[in-house]
Amino acid sequence: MTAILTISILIFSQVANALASPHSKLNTIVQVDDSPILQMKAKEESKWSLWFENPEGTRHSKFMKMHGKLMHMIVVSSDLEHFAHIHPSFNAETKVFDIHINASTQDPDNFALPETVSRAGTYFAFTEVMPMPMDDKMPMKMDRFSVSAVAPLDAPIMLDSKPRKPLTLKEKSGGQTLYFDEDGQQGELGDFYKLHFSYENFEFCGKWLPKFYFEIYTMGPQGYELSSGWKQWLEMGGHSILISQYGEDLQAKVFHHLHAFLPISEPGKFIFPFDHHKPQLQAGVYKIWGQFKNGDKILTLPVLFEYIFPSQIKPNFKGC
Amino acid sequence: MAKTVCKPLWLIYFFAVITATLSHEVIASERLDAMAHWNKRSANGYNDVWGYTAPDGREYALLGVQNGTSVIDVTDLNQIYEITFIPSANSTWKDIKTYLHYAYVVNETGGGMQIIDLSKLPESAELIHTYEGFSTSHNLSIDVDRGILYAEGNHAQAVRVLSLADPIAPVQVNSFGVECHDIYVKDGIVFVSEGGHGTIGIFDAKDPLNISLIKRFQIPNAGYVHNAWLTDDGEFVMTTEETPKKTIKMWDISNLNQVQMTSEYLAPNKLAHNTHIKGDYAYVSHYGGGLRIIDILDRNEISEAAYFMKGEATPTGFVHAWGAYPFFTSGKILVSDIESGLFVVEFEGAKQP
Repeated sequence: MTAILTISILIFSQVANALASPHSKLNTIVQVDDSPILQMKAKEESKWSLWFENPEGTRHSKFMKMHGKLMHMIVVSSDLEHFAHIHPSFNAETKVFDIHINASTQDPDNFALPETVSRAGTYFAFTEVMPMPMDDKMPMKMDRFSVSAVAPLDAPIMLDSKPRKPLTLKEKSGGQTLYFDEDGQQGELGDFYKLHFSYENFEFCGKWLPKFYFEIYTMGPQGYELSSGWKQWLEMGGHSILISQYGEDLQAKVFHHLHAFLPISEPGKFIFPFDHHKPQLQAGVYKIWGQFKNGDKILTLPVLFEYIFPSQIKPNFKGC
Repeated sequence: MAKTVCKPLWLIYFFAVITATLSHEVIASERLDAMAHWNKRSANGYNDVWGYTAPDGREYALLGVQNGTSVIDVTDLNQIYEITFIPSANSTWKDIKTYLHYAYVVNETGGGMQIIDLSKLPESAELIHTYEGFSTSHNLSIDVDRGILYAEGNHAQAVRVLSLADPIAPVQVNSFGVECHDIYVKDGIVFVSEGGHGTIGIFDAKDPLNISLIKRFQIPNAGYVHNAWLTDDGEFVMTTEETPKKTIKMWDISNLNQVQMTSEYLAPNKLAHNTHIKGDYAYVSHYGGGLRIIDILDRNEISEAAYFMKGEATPTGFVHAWGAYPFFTSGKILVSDIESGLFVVEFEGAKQP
C-alpha cells in the first residue's frame, strides 16, 4: 500500500493578469479536482479547470484560437527543471477550460500531458487565451497560478533540486553549445542533436530588442550538420518559452511565449524575436525552452542563459 | 623625355577623374531646399504624412499630429495653410492612407479607425465615421483597385482585411499572417514586413477571402524589418529595417525561388525609417538624415540623387524625418518632421507629365 505523504501546505491561488487591460474585468477562476484548493498528488491524474467570469457573474464564452489552440498552458516546476506545454480544451456547454493532468491523451499536441506533474513540489502554470471581442491593446489574457503537488512516500521529491550553473553569454560572443538525444534529453558530444544557442541585441524604438537563435544540428555520417525536415507545429516553425530564473515567487517571474518561422536561409536555424510590444527584457538569468517538430515528434530543447544588453539606451526616442 | 610627357598626362587624367567624380557627387548629392514649411502644432509633435489630390488638381497634405490629423492645402507653396484639424486619441504613432475621396487614419492608442471625407475640400474636410471594429493599428495599406484595406493587427492575426465596398462602412472580411509591422499592397499581392523575424512575407490576396503565402524570404542578419515598397515594374522590392546601421536594401524578386539582394544604401545618420518608390527614385524618410532620394534606375547600384535636411547635422536616433509622400504629379514631396511639422520640397524626378 502506498502511503501518501500528507503535507499541510498553504494553498493559494495566484491568478493575476500579467498586464492591466480591459480583460482584467474578466475574473479568472481556477480549480483543481473541482476544488479551489490548488493541490494534487504528483504522478496521479488530476483535473485542472479554468473559466473566466464577466463582471455580472456570467462565464465568458467566446475565445479565438491562437496558433491553433483556444488556450495554451505552460506548466513548470518552481525550479524550472520540469516543463510542459499543454492545451486545455473548452467545453462550450459549461464554458470551462479543463485538462486532465498526468493522463494519457490522443492529442499529439498534448504529448507532455502524461508527465506534466511527475514529482512533488510547487508548479507554476501560465495560461494564454484570447477572449472575444478582442481587446486590441492586449489581445491575450495571460494568467498565472501555482499548484502544489504532494508525493507518494516512495517517489522522489524535488523541492530543492540543484540548479545548473548559469552560463554567461556576451553579446556576439558565440553563445553556447549543448547536446541532446533524440528525445530531447540533455547529453553530451556525440548525441544525436547539437544545439547552438545564442542571442543578439538590436536597438529598436528606444529599447533593446533581442533575438534568440536556435541552430539545430543532427549527427550524420560526416558529423554534425544543420538539420532539415522541420515542420510547423501549432501554426509556427517553432515555439519558445522564456521564464526568468530570478523572482522568488510566481508573480515576480518574467514569462514570454515567442515564435519562430520555419528556417528559411539556413536549415536548422530558428530565429525567435522578442515581442517589441512588450517592455524591454531585463537583464538576468533565464531559461528558454525551444520547441520544434520533426517528423511526428515534438522536440523540446532547454537552455539556461544569462541575458545582458550593452548599455542603457539614450532617451532620445521620439517615435518609430 | 618620355618621363616628362607622361607626368602631365597622368596629372591631367588624375584631375579629370577627380573632377568627374566630384561633379558626379555634386549631382548625386543635390541638396533640396524647403519650398514651404508648416509648423503650427509643434506642441503636440508629428508623425506620418500622406497626400491627396482632389479632382480639381489641388493638392493636400494629411499630416499626422500626435493628437489628430491636420489637413493642409499645399497647392500654392507661397501660402500653405491648414484647412481643418481632426482630433484623435493622443498617439505617438499614426498612419494615414486615402481611397477615393476618403482618408483613413489609425493610431496606436485607441478610438478606432477614423474616416475623413475630403470631398468638400478646399472648403472643409470632416470626420464622417469612425470604424470601431478595432481600436488600434500601427499601419495600413489600401489596394485601391480592389477596394480592400489592410490594417496591421495583433498577436496571431497580424493583418486585418477590410472591404471598402462601402467606403464609410468598412467590413472586416479576413485576417492573415502571424507577424506584421507594415503592409504594402499592389495588384492583389501583399508584402508584409515581419518585424523582428527579419522576413518579408509575400501573400497572394487577389481573393481577399482566401489569402495564401506565396513566399517568405529572410533578410540576412536583419534588424527590425520595417517597411517594403515595390518598384513600378514589380521586379524588385526595397526594404527598410529601422535599426541603427541596417541598410536600405533592394531585392530582385523576379524569381521568387531565388530572391537576391542587388544593392544597398544608408545615409550618414545610419537609421532609415520608411521607403516609397515612384518611377526611378525611392524617397526615404531617414530620421536625422532627413529625406533621401535614391536613384534606383540601376538596381545593382542604387545611389543617392538628392536630399533634404532641415539643418546641417545628421543626428542619430529617432528624430526629424518620419514620413514622406512623393506621389503628387507636380513633383512636390511632403516630408513630415517629428519636431517641426511639414516640409514641402520639389524634385524634378518626381514630376509626372
